[in-house]
Amino acid sequence: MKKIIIYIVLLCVVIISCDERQLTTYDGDIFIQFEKEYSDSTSLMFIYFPDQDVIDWPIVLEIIGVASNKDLTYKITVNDNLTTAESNHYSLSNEMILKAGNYRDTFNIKLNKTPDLDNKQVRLFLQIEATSDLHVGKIEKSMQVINFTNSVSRPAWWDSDMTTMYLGTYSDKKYRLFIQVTNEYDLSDKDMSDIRSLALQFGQYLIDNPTLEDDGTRMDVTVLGLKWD
Amino acid sequence: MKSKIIYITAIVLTILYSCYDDKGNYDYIELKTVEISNVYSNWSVPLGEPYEIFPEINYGDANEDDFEYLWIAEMDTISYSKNLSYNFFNTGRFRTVFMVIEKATGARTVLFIDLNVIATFQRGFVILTEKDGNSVIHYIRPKTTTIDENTQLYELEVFEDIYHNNYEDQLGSNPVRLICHYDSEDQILLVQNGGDGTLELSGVNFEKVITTELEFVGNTYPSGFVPLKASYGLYMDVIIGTNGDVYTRKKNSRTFQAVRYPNVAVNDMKAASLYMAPKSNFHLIHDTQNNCFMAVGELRQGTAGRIIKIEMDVEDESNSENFTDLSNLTSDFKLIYSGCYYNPGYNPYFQIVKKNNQYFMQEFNITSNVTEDVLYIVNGTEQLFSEGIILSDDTKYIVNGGQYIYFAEKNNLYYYDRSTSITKVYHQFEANVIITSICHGRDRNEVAVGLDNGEFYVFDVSTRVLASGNSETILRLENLGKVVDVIYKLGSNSNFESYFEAL
Repeated sequence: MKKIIIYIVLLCVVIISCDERQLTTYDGDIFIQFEKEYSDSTSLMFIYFPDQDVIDWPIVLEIIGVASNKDLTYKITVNDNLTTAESNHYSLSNEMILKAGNYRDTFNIKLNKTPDLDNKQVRLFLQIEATSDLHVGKIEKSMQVINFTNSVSRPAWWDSDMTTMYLGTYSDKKYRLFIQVTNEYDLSDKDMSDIRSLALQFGQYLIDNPTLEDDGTRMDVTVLGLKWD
Repeated sequence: MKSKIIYITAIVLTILYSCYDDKGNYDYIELKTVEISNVYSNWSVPLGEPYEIFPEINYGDANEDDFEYLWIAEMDTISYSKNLSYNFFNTGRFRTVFMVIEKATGARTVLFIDLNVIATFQRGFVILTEKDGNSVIHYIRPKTTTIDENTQLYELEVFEDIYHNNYEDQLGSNPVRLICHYDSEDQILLVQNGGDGTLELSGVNFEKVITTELEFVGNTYPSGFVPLKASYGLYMDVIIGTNGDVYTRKKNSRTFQAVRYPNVAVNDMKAASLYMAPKSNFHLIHDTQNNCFMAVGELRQGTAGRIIKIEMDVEDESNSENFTDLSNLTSDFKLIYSGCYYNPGYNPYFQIVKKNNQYFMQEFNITSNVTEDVLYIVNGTEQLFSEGIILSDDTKYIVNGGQYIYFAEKNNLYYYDRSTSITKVYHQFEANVIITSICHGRDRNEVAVGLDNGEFYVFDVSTRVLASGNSETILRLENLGKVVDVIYKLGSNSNFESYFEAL
């Protein structure tokens, strides 16, 4: 009996200790970061954009926190120590605006095709700087690396099967021309039908427009299904 | 003491043994077995129809009531009755045991047979007609029933307008032709200019599989392309259009639609006709742009797709002097018909060509050079075909490896005897009808004929009938719509090759 009385007393104490409070919304700091992690760098070749001297490359950012009801300023800077690109290779507006109510924003960086990029690749190292409106988010998403060049190199998908069955021996000149003719630069996700069709399209171009490789031999393809002279 | 125990034990065992009651059955009775007949392998029933077997059993001096029956197919008991009537759920060859069991003794008489269940619409005639403005498919299935060991009943079952009746849908309109092609099953290319356009039908159930437009990269026809004809090989499929453009697709398997046609045509070529002989390595193309014959080769996977020149083998000198140079044709040359005979090792080609408003019969072989970049015409012969008979560009032909070439002009079905060069009329229809299509049936003893008045005939052209001088009709149908094309489908590639060799 004595125990029961003690339990009742304890229960009353617990119930009395309950309190009703209103839920509050988050009104803490807002952080901004890139959508992609730093390790997921971007590589661009101007040959993928055959008719462009300037590439407007979009970069997506996101915030952590609750969207603000006012426009917020964020700042992207170039880390000169880790960047090999020169100032004529790109142009970037330092301060950007995240519109009120938005959780994401995209800004474009202009990459310029300069003659010296024909022979080299440069790196642009971007980072977010804190502003009075926004803090920097996760460290691994606070930086971005863009490598870009106007030179070409043999892509991984141009393997021995591609050489034997479709496009023939690789050369930088052939690859540039292939992209120019077909508007395709990455065949890694293409199926056999698409690849053969593109190879035939390129072969037809080479029949109509005989082209020499740098060593003086005639550029050709290995795909079968066309009449060659 | 020890010896006493041994003696006592021996005596006890002896006494106990005398109590043993041998319950063995030494009253031998005869096991009754029977003789079974009228149960055979090697005949087929289409899926969906009951497999019926009516055994005839000689019970000897026993009574029929003393026996029970058991049918077991691939480990599954399918019947306890003497007569089998069973619907299989799948196609295939079922190893089957028929047992007659004497009830009293369990003695069994056992017979092993194979029951073969084939696709519902595996073999048979497919008739393409135009009726009320629509493309219509009719199917005629051969059915052979075993009456007894020496007798089989052959019938033709008719499934009119089979697509509409099965799917309550229309195929399309403006039909042009049917082309059957094979892997483990078959598909039928319905070339038509209306409705959804040219499309593939399943040879198993005639349902629509895919429109040809979706078989091109980009899911659309190249500009100006309207399908005219297609040929299907082991490594390559070739399709030509009414504009003469040629598209080739290279296959990595025999599976239908595993790859798509490119949207780039073979350059510098306009095809007026396309033909691939069964079991051959070339798709032959009559190129009207360059007035020659070309080929799409498929000797082997690696070189498949190569566009190959066809030249006359001058050095071999095996071609007759009057044989037309197929590498350098005159502008009035017209290819009317392409076919071939079966011959192990190579297939002699047969063509009807038109030159100077006359029709010639060509026969030749094709060989390849070592590098497989040139094909040579060899053993070519050429002669006027069926002199004295009025022919036209619309004359229909069929050849086989046999003695006769059948052809139809207007309302007459003729046969040309290759050994005597004599042409005879097999059957003459009324003057106002036109034969629009002919093909062989289950063997070279059957010829099917479609007419523009909606009638369809299957004729017996066996030696017996030809010798009689009178035609003999196996089947006659009417009101099918204007017959546009008739083919005989075989159901699978292996059936097709066997059929071709038998022809």
